Amino acid sequence: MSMLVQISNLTKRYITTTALSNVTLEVPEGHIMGLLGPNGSGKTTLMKIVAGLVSPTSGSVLVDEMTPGVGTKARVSFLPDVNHLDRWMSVGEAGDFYADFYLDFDQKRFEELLAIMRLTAGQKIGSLSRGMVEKVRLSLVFSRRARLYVLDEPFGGLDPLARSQVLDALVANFRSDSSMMLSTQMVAEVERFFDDVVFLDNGRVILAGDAEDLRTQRGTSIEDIYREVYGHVEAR
Amino acid sequence: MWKLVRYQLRGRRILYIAGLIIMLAVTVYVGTQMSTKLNPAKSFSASNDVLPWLPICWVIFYMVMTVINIVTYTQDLYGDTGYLVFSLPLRGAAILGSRIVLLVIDTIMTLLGGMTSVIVLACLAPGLAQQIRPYVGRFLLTGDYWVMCLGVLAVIVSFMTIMFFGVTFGKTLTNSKKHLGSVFSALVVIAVLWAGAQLGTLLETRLFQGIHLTLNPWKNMPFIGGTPAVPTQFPLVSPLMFVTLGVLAFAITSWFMDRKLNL
Repeated sequence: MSMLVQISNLTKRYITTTALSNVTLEVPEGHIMGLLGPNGSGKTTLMKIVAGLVSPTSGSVLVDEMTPGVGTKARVSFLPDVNHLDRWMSVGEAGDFYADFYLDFDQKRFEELLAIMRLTAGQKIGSLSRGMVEKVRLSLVFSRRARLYVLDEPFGGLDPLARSQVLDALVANFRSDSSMMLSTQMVAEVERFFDDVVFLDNGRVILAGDAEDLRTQRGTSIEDIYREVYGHVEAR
Repeated sequence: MWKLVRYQLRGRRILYIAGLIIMLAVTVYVGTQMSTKLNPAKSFSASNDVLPWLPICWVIFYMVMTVINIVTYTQDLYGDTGYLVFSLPLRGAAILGSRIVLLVIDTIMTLLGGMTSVIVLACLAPGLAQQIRPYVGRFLLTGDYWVMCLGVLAVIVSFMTIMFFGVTFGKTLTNSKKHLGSVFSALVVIAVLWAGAQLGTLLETRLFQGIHLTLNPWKNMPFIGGTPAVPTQFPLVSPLMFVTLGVLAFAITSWFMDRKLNL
């Protein structure tokens, strides 16, 4: 099985803090990896490094056998945890922007996703509610035929119905030649999609493995393992 | 890079339209002041109190556009829209280059706008048209004028590149979403400009004494330079040094964006 992401001894230090410390993990092709952990555990930093938006202090990161940069940005579809779209854009203009810069952007798929999300091309980003902006952002990210999807808290502003729509779209559009790294606090709703899970705390990997194996070994769900792991950490 | 320029222009379209409408209104106001208060035949010679407002307004227009250019770049680095721009499969040089192209477009727009203002004024105040008309053709073909314009543009572009360098360097080094990065950026810009000015003075006064560029940009427009316009000695070494500093700042900023980005 080929590895789409290979991270080895990755450390990221800022002036006063260490965001990641000696992180080593791999994401196989065709797998969905859940990145789990409380706020400040290093999930976002890790995803930004993979997306080429933060430079590592030490260690190595390979995405599709390339170090993060211009080459990988063309293959990685990144969804940050904040609204990254300009307020002046309309939904259609945001689609045009992606189509202009990403060769793997599928305009037809974007229109289909907009229809599913009940959005129209003429709506201005600045006039949309948080949940609707979230839907636009997800539609843009999933309209790319990327090798790797990196999604940071993708369901934050969505109501339960929209969440279910997005998850259906996610499953329907996921291809076996691509992979996904997904961080979320809504473990219960998403855990059935995880092939692998990584638990981070204070920038360190504290537990990692095949999701099904972990469930079998511990005889419980990933959500319960999450409670167990971080309840333990918090109690310390 | 050009796609990014197009997108940034699209984002600023309302600003451009609003700015140009304001400038047209200012031009028409100045023109009507000249033609209603004064005798049209004497309007040019008697217009010294209203006419200077027009170039001042164009300079303000240019400064506002330039400040917006640097502010939006800073927002990209420190704010959320940076995830859109810096996730693109583009080199740092292309992202920075698009900002420089925007600056050049702003400059050209200001120059063309200024010329349009003169034409509108000439239509509204016939006296001015009569005075200027014989000189316009020759003036636009004055090589010295265009050399001066290019020199000024090169210095402005270098100055802005140093600003972009300061912002990027500050953000990269501090990775601060708050004031620390901005303060550090401002300090870097001040330090680089101060060092550049000191070095320029040193080169100008010690090593390359007496090397000047003698230009007579207003020789075909006697209203501006006086009659007859006198050639002026422009410094050559310090502007060239400043442009070199700008090129260096461009290269380092691009490298930072490619290798040391910390959004």
